[in-house]
Amino acid sequence: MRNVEDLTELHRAWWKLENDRPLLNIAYREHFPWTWLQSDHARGLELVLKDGSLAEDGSLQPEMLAPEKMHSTPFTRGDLFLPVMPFGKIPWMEAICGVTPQVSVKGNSIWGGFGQGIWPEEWWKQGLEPEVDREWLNLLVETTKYCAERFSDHFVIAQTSIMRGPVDIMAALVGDRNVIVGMYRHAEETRRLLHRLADICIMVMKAQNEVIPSFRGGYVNCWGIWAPGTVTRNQEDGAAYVSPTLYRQFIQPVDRKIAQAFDYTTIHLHASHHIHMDAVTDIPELGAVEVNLEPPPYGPTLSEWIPILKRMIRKKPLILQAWYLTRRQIDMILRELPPQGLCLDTYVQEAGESYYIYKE
Amino acid sequence: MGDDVLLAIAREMANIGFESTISCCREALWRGIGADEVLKALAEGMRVIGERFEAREYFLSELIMAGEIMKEVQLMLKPHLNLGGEQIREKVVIGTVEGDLHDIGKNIVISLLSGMGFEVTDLGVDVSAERFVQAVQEVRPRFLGLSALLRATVPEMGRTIEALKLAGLRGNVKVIVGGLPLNEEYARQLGADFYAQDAWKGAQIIRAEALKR
Repeated sequence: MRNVEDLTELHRAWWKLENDRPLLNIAYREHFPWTWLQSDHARGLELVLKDGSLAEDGSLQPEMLAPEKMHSTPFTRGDLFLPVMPFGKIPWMEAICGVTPQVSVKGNSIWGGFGQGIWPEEWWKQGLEPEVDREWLNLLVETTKYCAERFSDHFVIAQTSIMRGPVDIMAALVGDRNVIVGMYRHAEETRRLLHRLADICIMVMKAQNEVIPSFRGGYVNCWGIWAPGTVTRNQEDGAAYVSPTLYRQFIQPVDRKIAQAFDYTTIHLHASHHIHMDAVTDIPELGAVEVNLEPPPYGPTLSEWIPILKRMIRKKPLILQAWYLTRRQIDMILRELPPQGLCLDTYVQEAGESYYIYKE
Repeated sequence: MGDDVLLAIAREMANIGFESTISCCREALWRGIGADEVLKALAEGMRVIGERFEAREYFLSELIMAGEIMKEVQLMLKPHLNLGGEQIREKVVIGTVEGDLHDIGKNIVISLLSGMGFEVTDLGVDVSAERFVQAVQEVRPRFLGLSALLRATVPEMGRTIEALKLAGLRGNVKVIVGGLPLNEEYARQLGADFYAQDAWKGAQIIRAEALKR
């Protein structure tokens, strides 16, 4: 049994690449999310007493307690906290930047535009500026506040899980194609727009942080990793179709700008972003990288990933997520990568589609 | 004469030089070089782009820009093209199948095909089988492109091909399917005529088929 303090200390060490064992959450998906196989939950009772100390085994008297200090132990999943956060499928950032979300019931998704963009083809000529939609921003802040008021007794509260970054928002505004055309032909206007969008991202992230209660003197990100300071997460899905050169020229500076605005930032990447991993981990202020290990053909095989991940984890803590991994594959990751800075959050393949299993 | 400018067109195209390729093409026309010759030089540049893409020296961003250059040059060359030349005048209808909202691959194919001179009708994303059938009836294309990124939506491709059969249109159109969850065998099972591993190959397959006619 570990208590919450053990867990936060483990997380504190993880950010510094100093944890002596990896952060693990390995679950059986069949009964998702109710059957967690991870046995090493932080289940120890943690009761904060009036004087700020933790209750120990023995009798409990009313005068030892204070209403403002009594909290239940927050739920965890493996070595990670289980955060409550605003519904992540809403494309909040695109909506806040003026792109009306589109629902696709069959696609099980809500989309921030449909690839074509909402700005005119020659946006770069017209000096267009993204306008912040206050209604969407207020809704996000109010929803975050609601999560805090309603759930913070049993859960940690985090920012919404999908905070899209400047390139994704730009794609929603001007269309995917025009992001590339902009980088090639209207570099200055593209840079200016990306920086403006990064400023909006930072503003929205800070607005959420203001209503999220601090937990143990820090905050928890959407993966459930605590940090002794402000956290945030952004993603640049659109970077998947950009060359590494263009990433360094246009996207890395704005990802860095976001990383500079918070204490512990994490960028979420997909397997198809493997071409940018070195550039991403070169961002000095970036706290960590999360990689979704989608299986081939969406990205490299696990064996091809290992040297890339080894390079990355030397520089930044890594969160590895996968839909399914076999026991053998989990062993391979744990054997090949050092525990320092490693967080593995995956499901074991006991049933389901064999398609999603990696071919080593 | 004019070899130097044709070589420059091929080189600038291969290097994804937007302004430089266009200015070389303009120079070639000014020198009296035939539009068909210019197109051949561009095709040479595109061949190098394909090689670099396969060697992972180029990425999707370079394919998108190659398509953009080709589109621009096509507009310039149109009035000069010899009708008997190698110019392609086929119609293509393309879309992402129902339930899938991903369109990068599809959009690159469109960009490349438009640059090659195809008349492309883009049905967008989340397109139902019925809408594909309707478009084939209305546009009468020689090629129908079906795109998907999600494995869960791939069966929609099969449903669309079935719907074409039911409407009696299957024989009128060549169906090409593309998307990461697919492979050659899966494409055959779905009843497609062709499978494209990526956007580049998709455009090349359609081009090669169109030139067979």
